[in-house]
Amino acid sequence: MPIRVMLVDDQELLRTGFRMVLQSQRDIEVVAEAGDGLQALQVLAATEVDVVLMDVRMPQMDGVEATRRICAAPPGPDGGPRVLILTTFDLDEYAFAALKAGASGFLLKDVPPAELVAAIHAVSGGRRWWRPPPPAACSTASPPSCPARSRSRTPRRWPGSPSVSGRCCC
Amino acid sequence: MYNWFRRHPTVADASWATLLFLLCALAIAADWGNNDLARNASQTLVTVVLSAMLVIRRKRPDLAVWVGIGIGLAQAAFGLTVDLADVALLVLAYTAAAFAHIWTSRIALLAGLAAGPLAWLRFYSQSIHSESNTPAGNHWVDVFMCVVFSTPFLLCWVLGRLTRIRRAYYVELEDRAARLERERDNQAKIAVAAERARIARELHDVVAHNVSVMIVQADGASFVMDSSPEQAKQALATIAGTGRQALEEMRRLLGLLRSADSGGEYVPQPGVEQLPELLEQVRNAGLPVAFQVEGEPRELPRGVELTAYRIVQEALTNARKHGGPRAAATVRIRFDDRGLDVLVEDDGRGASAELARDGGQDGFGHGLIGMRERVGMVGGTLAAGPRRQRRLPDRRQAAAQAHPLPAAGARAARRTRPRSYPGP
Repeated sequence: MPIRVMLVDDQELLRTGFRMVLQSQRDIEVVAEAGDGLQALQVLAATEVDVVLMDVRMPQMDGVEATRRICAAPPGPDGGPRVLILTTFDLDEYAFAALKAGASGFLLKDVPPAELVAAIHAVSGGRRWWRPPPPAACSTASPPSCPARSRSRTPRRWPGSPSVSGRCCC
Repeated sequence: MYNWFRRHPTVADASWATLLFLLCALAIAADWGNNDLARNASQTLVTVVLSAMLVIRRKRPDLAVWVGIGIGLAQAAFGLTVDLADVALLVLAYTAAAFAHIWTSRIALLAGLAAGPLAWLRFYSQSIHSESNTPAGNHWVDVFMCVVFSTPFLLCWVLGRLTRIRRAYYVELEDRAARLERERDNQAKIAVAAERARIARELHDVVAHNVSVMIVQADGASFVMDSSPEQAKQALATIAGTGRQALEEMRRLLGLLRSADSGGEYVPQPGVEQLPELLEQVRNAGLPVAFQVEGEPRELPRGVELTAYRIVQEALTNARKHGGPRAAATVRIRFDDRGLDVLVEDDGRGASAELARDGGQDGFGHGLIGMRERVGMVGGTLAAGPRRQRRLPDRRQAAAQAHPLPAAGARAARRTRPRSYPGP
């Protein structure tokens, strides 16, 4: 069964670009799109999604707030949907806010397609994918507030520690 | 002459000291035969030393005061009567209070108060009592005379004290003025830095957004190249369009940066004072400009001055560009309580309405927009457009007005109306 992915970004060009990359993957299926956080929540209420690719800066509702609400809702049977933040800006405050909101992954939009695909796989399997590594303050901060999802992941290790490929932490 | 002496106080002191010394020398010479050699020598010594102390009293006030106190005590001890040279002691009392260390000043006050009784009781009391046959028990005369002898010292000391207070007050005023000036400079620098940071951030945002679109679209195109060539083609067109857009935005922003930099780092930014030079340049370039200043010109915060200068510069450039061959312009500057009004108008042909609304067509497309930003930075407002129809309707005008306030919340207004209304 393919991984069901949703794209949330206010720039349509970016959505079509990611869709082109992802639709050519055999085990990934783009099942929904949304132009802002509010719309994303509405779509999620009606659609089964495994991984949400979420932009940060968006009109109506930003990606961090949308992530917080998605993670606060009761999780589905397999723990989803999980949120993978995809942003243009390599800013610590974004990464920290995303972590606190309960995102499972953090990537920059210029990520190579192969890594994007690997990250989607990792996140849908309940692992974390954080690149660039979270700000130093985060590695000692309290775990993200997604209780249902954090139960299955022990011990938790952050990227930067010599784990698999130095990036993925499980 | 007076000012020269003020700038060279030691010379002035030396002149007074010389005068005193010459007078004392005359007195000593006139009296030479009546006294013994020791007395003449000691009188001369006292005169020389006291005169010398008057010369150095500003450079070494503490030393001068202590030597003065020592001389006074020595006079009392060795029975040298008070003479003209002791006027110097009064000056030293003033010096102690005005220039010396605070403890020297206090001790000098005590010494001055003690000098009256000391001199009276040591030299005059007995002779007065014996001459006038007053009973030696009448102490009221002694008390009265002691007070009379001490009063000059007290007055001189108080005068010196006032000088010290006034000087401290001036020092503080100067310090505060210097601090304010530094603060103002800093604020100007901070404003410039903030503006640059803002532009840099904007530049980064523009580049980052567009470039990430290009990357994602290119990745997507390479993935669907075989399965859906049509989609790949579309993506390539998107990439080209996005790249062009990014470059255009960058040019605009760099244009802003460059125009902010054009003053050069080491040349002070121009202000209202430099306007006549600017107008002269414009006149040489072929646009007749009249210049009026209303109100009392005064120095305004640098940012405001620079903004006013740039507004006039920009408005006159617009007038030259859009005003047509026979245009003439007027620049009017009005200083008022709240700040500065700048009005630039011309009677030329004007640009089209669309152009004015879109911010002008000057290659960077930021003529009016940039001015509005500048004026906003100093808290002012700007208005631009055709002048009201009070002149010949077939003439077109451009007017600019700025109203930046010198206070912290400066408010600026500029009214540029480069254009017009249709002819009848």
